[in-house]
Amino acid sequence: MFRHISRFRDPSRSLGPSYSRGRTWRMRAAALAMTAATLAAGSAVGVAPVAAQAPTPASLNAAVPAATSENARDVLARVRPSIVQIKGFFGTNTAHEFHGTGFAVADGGVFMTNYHVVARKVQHPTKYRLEYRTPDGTTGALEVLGVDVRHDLAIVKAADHAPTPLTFVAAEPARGTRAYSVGFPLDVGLTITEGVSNGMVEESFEPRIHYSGAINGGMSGGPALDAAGNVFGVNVSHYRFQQLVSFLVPGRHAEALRAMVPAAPPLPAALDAAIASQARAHSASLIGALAGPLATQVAAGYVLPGKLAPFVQCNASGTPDPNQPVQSVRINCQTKAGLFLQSGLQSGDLSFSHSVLSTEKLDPWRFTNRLSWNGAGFAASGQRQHVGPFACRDRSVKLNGFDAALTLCTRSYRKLADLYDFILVVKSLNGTQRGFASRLTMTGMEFEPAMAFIQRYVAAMEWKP
Amino acid sequence: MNASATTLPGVGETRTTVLVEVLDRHGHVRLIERIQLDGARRTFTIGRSVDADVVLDDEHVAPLHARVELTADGRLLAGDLGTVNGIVVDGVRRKDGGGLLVGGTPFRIGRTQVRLRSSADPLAPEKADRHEHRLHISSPATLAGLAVLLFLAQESYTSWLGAPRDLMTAFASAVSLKAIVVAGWVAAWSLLSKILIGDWRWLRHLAVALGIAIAATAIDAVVTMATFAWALPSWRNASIWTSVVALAVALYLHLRNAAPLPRGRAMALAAIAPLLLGIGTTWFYERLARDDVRRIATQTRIFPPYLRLRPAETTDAFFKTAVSLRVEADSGRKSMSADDGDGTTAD
Repeated sequence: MFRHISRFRDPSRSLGPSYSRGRTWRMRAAALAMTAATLAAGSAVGVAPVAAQAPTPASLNAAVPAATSENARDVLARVRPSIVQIKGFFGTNTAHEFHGTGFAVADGGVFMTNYHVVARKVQHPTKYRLEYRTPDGTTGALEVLGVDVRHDLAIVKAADHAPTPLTFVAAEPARGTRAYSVGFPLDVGLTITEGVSNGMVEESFEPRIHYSGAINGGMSGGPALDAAGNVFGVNVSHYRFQQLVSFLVPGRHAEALRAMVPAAPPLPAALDAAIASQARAHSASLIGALAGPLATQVAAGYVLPGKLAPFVQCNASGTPDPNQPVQSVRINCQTKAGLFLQSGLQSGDLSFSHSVLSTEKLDPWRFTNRLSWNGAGFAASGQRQHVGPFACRDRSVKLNGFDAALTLCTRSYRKLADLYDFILVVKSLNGTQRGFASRLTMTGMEFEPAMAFIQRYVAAMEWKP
Repeated sequence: MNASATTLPGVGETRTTVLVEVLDRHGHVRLIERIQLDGARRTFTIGRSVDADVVLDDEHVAPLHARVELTADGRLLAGDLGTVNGIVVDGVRRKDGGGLLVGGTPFRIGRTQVRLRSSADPLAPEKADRHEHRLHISSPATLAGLAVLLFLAQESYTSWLGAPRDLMTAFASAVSLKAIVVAGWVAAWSLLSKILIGDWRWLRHLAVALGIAIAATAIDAVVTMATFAWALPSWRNASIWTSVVALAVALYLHLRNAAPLPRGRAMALAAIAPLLLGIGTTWFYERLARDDVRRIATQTRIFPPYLRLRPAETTDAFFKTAVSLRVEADSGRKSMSADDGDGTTAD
């Protein structure tokens, strides 16, 4: 079974509705039920025949005497001893529940992998156990030494397996440089894929390297290598249903984590505290990055928050048919900054959407009725083992040049101390032919900075007919 | 109006009329037999035989079952003529040969309810009739017609407000769906009326059902508008309690029309079920809300700006009071019921 080797970054699973219909920004390595099924089918139908017909290296060399293939083989031969598959087992099960890849980064059996590979073990230390499996088939126990949820990294330690550590290169390769990614995709064995490093992802809050090469579920946590076999990144995610758009965590974050971890495994409570503090630091830096006057955009006379920062990605659409009784403009903005903490829990994300309506045909009663239900979007996502119920305040409030109905709701996290989710719904009360409904969703924020941001967000709204 | 005597009974040559009324099980008169008695003939018989003075078509009645005698002082006394079933007076089966006082109150012969009346029996005074107009507002037909019109008006307003492009389809589908529900409800109550009091009364039940539904919808709309006008905090259980009150009133009116129940008992019956329903639903919702981490209870309905009667507060005031949300969210989290997962809380 292929499960949970992946990084969830699906906006539809974050707090609030997903409006990201046009542009799919789903970064995962493989794991929701649907993906798992697709990949499982692929492994059964696609991989088996390939394995049967796979040319031997000799015949491959005879057919395609390209230097690149030899280079991939050389790179793999060099790093092979330092790579392990990481498997997670529930209880005393002998069949694994999740798996990923790790590579040696320090002497004494210290391996780097993704946090999302070992997240279950970290969250439920007594329920799960980790094992490594070398390419030769040797197995042994692993313990988590430290995590960096902001960069989706974790360091694990093997008691009885200490291969030579791989070396990091200081800088990311230039765009267009040949690169390799190593791991255990879909549990079909050690694999190297060849691709191109395309530099840092533009407009991303967390730094990621764009790698144009195949990364599939199970390769998470594996190294991304240059032609010399040096590590410049860690496999982390890819776009589902897209072709070879994959992402790597820059090697410098892995090095930084390696430098920080203790020699002995910390207590589970210490790991929990570290995760909470990293989540708080993440939300603080997200709000910090949105300091200063907020960028706005105008729709139907309303000035509304827009592309607040380079990493805020907005898309907008409208009603093309002039005969519609109500003309609408819909603006969606997302930061996609949410951290994967565990299945069903992302924190430190911010997104908002505006639905601006105008009419020449409807009377005020029908128009305001339409506005009432438009962009109501009151459903929120979230699981009760992670968060508490919402507390809400709704009032009519004087904004710049117009009055609006504000509904502000917040709920607190159960395990992660001092983190809150926020939903703000703003509906204009001034117009009989113009109006808007706007919704801001923030997850995993500290209370006071978030409230201060929400106040700034509301203050940026203005009626300028 | 049924009994008449040409002279006072028991005085000389009297001629008295006795009415024998055969009643159905709801107490409605189904058959009237008029018996003339005088000085020469002071008794008559009841039975299944054609020789009886009053013939009852009832297999539990003997050929000659009872003899009734008009006494000199005008009382009607019955006697059993040696039958198997006797005469049931005031719920007691009697086989007395005579002397059973039966004037004015129904008694049973076989399975037939019989009531005897003579001019000596007291009559209730004439009841005033205030129905002066041909079309009276409180007649069931008028009320039902009015309710149907109001219902259609309300539905067309709602459809219009929704502003669909195909207004007629929206209206027809909304009306037909509700019509089916109302028809079922009215049919059930009419059937109950027929069973309990022998009358369908479907117009009254239709008037009650539609009237209360319209009133409840109107009250709900007024509450929503008032909430908007004065910017009141929305009360999430408001619609539950509007429904409870509406249901109680509707049940009371239905019961009064469907069963021979006194006012007090009908009120108690009508109040208990909706009250329990309301308390149960509220409890259930509150319980759900306590653990529902996705629910946002408030729903802001927007109306035209000229309906607003209360000035908006400033942003500063809003955010100053919103600080208390933190405490509310924390206490909501702490009062969640024990988790089925790993529900250890942060503190």
